[in-house]
Amino acid sequence: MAQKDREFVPGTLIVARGSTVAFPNLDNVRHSIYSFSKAAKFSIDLYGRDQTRTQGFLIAGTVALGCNIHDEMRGYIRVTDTPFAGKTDHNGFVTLTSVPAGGATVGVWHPRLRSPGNETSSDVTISSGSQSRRYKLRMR
Amino acid sequence: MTRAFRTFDKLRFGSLKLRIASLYAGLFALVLAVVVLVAGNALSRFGEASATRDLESNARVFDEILELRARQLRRSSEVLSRDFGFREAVATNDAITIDSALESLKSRSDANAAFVIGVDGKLLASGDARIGNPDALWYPLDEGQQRGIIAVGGELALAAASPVEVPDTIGWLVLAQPLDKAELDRLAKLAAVDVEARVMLPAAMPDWMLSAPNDSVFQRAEGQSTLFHVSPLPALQDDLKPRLVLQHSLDASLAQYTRLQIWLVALAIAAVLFVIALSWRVARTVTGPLQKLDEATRAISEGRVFELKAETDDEIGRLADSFNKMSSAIEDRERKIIHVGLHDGLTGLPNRKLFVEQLDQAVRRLDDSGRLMVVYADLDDFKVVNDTLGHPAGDRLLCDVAAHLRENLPDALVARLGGDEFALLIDNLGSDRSLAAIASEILVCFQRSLMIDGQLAESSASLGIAVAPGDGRDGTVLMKNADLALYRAKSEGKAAYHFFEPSLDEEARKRRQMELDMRMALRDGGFELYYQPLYGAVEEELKGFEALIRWFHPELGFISPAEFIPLAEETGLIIPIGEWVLREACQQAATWPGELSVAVNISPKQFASPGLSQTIMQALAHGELSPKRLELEITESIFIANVEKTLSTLHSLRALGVRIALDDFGTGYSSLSYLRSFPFDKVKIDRSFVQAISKEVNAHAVIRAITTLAEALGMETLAEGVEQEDQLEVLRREGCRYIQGYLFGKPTPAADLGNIFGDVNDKSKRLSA
Repeated sequence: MAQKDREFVPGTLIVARGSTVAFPNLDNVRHSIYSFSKAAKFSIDLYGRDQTRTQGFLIAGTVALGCNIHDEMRGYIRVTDTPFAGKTDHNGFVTLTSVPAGGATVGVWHPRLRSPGNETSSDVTISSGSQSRRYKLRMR
Repeated sequence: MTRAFRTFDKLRFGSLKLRIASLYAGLFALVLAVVVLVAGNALSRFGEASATRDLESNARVFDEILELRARQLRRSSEVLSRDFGFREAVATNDAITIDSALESLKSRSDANAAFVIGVDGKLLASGDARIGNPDALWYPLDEGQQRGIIAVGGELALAAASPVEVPDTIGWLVLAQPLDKAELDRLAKLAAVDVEARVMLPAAMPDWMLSAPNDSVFQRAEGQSTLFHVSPLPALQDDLKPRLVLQHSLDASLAQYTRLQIWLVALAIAAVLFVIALSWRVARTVTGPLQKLDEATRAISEGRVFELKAETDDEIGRLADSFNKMSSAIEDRERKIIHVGLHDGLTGLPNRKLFVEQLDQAVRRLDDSGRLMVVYADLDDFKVVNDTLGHPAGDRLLCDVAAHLRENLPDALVARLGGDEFALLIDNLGSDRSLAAIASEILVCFQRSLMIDGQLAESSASLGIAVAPGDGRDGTVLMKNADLALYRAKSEGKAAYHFFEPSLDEEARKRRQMELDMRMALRDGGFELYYQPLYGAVEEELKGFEALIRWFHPELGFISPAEFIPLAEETGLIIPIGEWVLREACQQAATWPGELSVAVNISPKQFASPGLSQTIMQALAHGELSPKRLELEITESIFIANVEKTLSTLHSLRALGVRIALDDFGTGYSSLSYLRSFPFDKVKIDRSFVQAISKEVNAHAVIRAITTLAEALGMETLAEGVEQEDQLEVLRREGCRYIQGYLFGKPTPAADLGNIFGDVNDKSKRLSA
């Protein structure tokens, strides 16, 4: 997850549990990275341009990233322990493939979702073939 | 307004000065009162308006201050909420660290409460603040509200909140400061005016305050007038609806204006007093001269001379000038009027009034040795001049005489008493001067002859003279005596003078008495008619009677008509007496048998009176007598005055149908032209001719001449005073138709006439036999 133009790019990143994420600084200012999230509590001191720091994420959950000196910078890393996860496009569409049929739980997360933990979940039954579902969400 | 002025006009002030002064002062006071009223009212309004404005701006200031405070609070809280360590503490729910940080923030920022509310609405750390209901704060906080009122431990407090972000918001740090009375009072002191500020909750507010519009000033009078301003305050707690209430005592702020109003009134009163004094002064400059004018007018009305001084050359000065001119003009006119009042307008001689005054003075001045002479003069036959030549000619004659008198008698005071009467006063006569000589001199002065319009007018006068002190020591007595002497001079023939004698006085008294007696006789039937028969010489029978008046005075006995008739003529009594005679004669004649006529004498004065025809007609009608049986006897003297007028009167009498005889023919003027000018029915030959028959030879010839003339003119003749047979004989022979005289009968009372009717006829028969 890069830091470019004082933003985390991309703003939201989905990684599998146990992954290590690199944070290259592509700006010409220095950035720090911290997280008080339960899934990953860490703090990376300021580092400069073209430097990269890495962090491993061993617990599944949502990690909210901030820069200590740039309040407006927000970045989110969703550490998942399922392969069936994806980020929607700008129109809110995402396609998950190869999901085995049967009962499943669908969780929807968004940093401004108006729900505890910014996440809602619902149980669904997956049948073979493609299916589409609509979720209506309340945002902050 | 006009009515007010009219009412003012009706007010009685007694003095113009007071009126002017009151009018001006009153008007000024009125205007000033209006000004003061309007200004006072405007002041009050201005005071209210400015108090309202002040309160509004105070409200804004309060809002501003509260906002400022809240921002400060928020800045303080932000410092902590952004602190990495604090955020970490909050994120990790490290309560002890959080509390200590809050504690230090409180002391740093003068706040009394600081706490953290989690994003789930739970109070994470409260310091020692007693937050009743954290949930109520959550919604506004979640909405992003940063400042507002909250309740801390039951007290209202100003709070500011800042989010704790890691970087997502996990809670809010809230910092609060109390808004209690002490704090608000402190804030109120910052305001320009005396304001009391309170933050109130609806539950604590009275109804009128709740229903009042927000954010505007309104007035409420409870004991004293107070301005209120209520504005809502933002709350950081959704169960609170706090209001900021500002109040300001209007009475207090108006008090300063009241002082200004008192000053204004005081100033107005001072101005009115000043104007009263001024208008009094102005009024005096107007009324002062008026007062002087008033005095002057009074002085002139009392007959004093008064000169006004013209001090200025304005209207007042001109008025004084005009007034002086007027007063001198009045004086002039007065003098003229007095002159006119004391002088005769025609001749310019003094009049009777002035003459009497001067005479009185002269008599008073008269000393023991001195004498003075009062002359009464009356022009002789002046009436003839007036009648024949006209009044302008008469006036010219009078003027000529007056001028001549003045010229020739410089020592005498000459006065015209009226008409043709003059009076002269000659003073300072020594005892040696001949009075008769003076009298003759005066008499000559009156003899004038004057050509007027080609005709000669001559004048002469009769004089009556009284001399003081012999004939009286009193002006009135002297004039009366001179008048009596004049009367005597006139009656003794004209153009002569007569001095007063005491016997004249006695005569005058007698005449007055006789006049009174005549009036009484007329009233009481003291007169009686006697009738003397008229005898027809040819027919030898009784033809009628002449009525002759007789007066038997109760004391003096028989009084001759020759004595009282002239007096009756003079006094005018002849008119009523003549009327009586006519009426009585007509009534009597109507009782006589046959066609017997009655002859009545008409005096010149009676003849000239305008009512004669009327009187005759009435007498005839009253007695039911045929007009042809009435004969009027008229003397020639009626022709003296005015021939034309006399002729017209005669013709009008003739028109009545009565007969007219010319009496006493042959005496007096005996002008034949009279006979020619009027066809008399009868001519009465005067008794003097009859009596001459026995004595004079040519008397026959005269009688014959008269009868022949009369016959030629178609007139009858009658001879009076026939007493003897030979007279009768001659008269009959000479052609006289009628005879009257003692030979046939004396005048007889009416009652005895019955005997005569037979008697006379007998006698005539006897004569003819």
